[in-house]
Amino acid sequence: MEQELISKKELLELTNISYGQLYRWKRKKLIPEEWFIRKSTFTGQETFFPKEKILARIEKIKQMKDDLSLDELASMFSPNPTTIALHKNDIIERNIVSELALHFYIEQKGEQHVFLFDQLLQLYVFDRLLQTGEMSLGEGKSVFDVFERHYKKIQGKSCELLIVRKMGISTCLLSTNGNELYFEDGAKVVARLHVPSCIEELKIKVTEGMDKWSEKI
Amino acid sequence: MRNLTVNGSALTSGGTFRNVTIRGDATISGDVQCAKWKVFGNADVSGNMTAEWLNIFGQANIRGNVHVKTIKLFGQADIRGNTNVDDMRLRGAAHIQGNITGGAIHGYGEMNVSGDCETESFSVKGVVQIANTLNAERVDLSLYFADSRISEIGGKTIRVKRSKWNVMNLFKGMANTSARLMTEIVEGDEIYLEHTSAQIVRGDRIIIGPGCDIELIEYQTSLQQSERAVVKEKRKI
Repeated sequence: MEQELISKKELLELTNISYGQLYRWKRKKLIPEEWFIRKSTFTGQETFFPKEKILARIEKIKQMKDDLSLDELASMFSPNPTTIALHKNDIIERNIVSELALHFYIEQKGEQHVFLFDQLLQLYVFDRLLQTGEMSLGEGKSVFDVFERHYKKIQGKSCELLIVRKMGISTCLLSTNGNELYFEDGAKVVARLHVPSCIEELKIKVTEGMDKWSEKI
Repeated sequence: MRNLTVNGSALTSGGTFRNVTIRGDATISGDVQCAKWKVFGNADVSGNMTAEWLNIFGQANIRGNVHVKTIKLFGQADIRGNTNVDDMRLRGAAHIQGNITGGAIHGYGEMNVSGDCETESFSVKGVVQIANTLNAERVDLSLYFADSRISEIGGKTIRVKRSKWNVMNLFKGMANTSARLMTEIVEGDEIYLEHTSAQIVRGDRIIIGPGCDIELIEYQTSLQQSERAVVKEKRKI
């Protein structure tokens, strides 16, 4: 499909940004290299951009550059899912986790705009457990805590998240490499989640909307 | 963690080290990871290089990519891959076949890049050749000794001048005092050019100094031009 192009000069006029800003954003990888299309014209080499994409991207950068540092913005636009970070609004809009889960997370951890992949993973796991009804909202805090404190150590290993409940009191734990676990009578394993498969699902969810999303932004 | 020290001549394999010191001549096959890499003499690395510090007094050839915090180069470095560096101090010649990205590049000497150069600041006195784009927040280029060639320069502040500091002037005739910059496009917010041949210069506030030869200037706020500069066409946007 032939996409409409815009020259660098027109772009700067239209968006009211300076050369300095454009080059800085390119350096910080906020604007992907592939969008810089070189063409020879009668005045020599000129740079063009895919019009719709670049206008949307610049609009997005201008909107968010006051709240976020350029590096945070860069990780947000990164195509590599594990280095990705999403804005609060995008998480809701793209339906990655439910609004309820997100609000609960913010309530617990304080207000934040950008979520890194690790945080998204906590949210995603929590949301899944909520949706299946295996866990109540109040128990979510223990999921966040166990991930926050221990996930770094076992990152890259195969691990499972277990929720155990006895007489209405619940706890959760992370276990690596499918170790055998034995519980006392009356304790019940209410949920068992294989974390690497959650990561895969989340990656797909995050990247899936990416093409559509990056056109939109 | 181990140290690797070469005194004399050696052929060794790469790995992870704390300090690597080469006095003499070393050929290292494979990747090298270390805190500090010092070369007094000559070093060849066939793989990638990751280090905190890289001090080269002499010569270094690296076939792979280089990822370092600080480079101090007194001598010559040839890098076949891409380079990422936070701070590079140049006192000699750097030849980079790939792209170079990072924080600051500053110093004297020769800088030759076959790809792009994208850094926060770029301040070099000497000869600079960049095949693609030089993109830096601040570009400060002192032309000295021989002509510089950069296809495209972009950034916030761009200053190109001919170096006045000149020990070589003492030996009249030896020094080439006609060093120029040849470029196609210069784009920035604030631009000062001297002794530059360019096709297009675009920016907000532009000063064209002596010895320039420019086909087209597009400016927004202001344009000043030296009497000793040639500009074919000027447009206020």
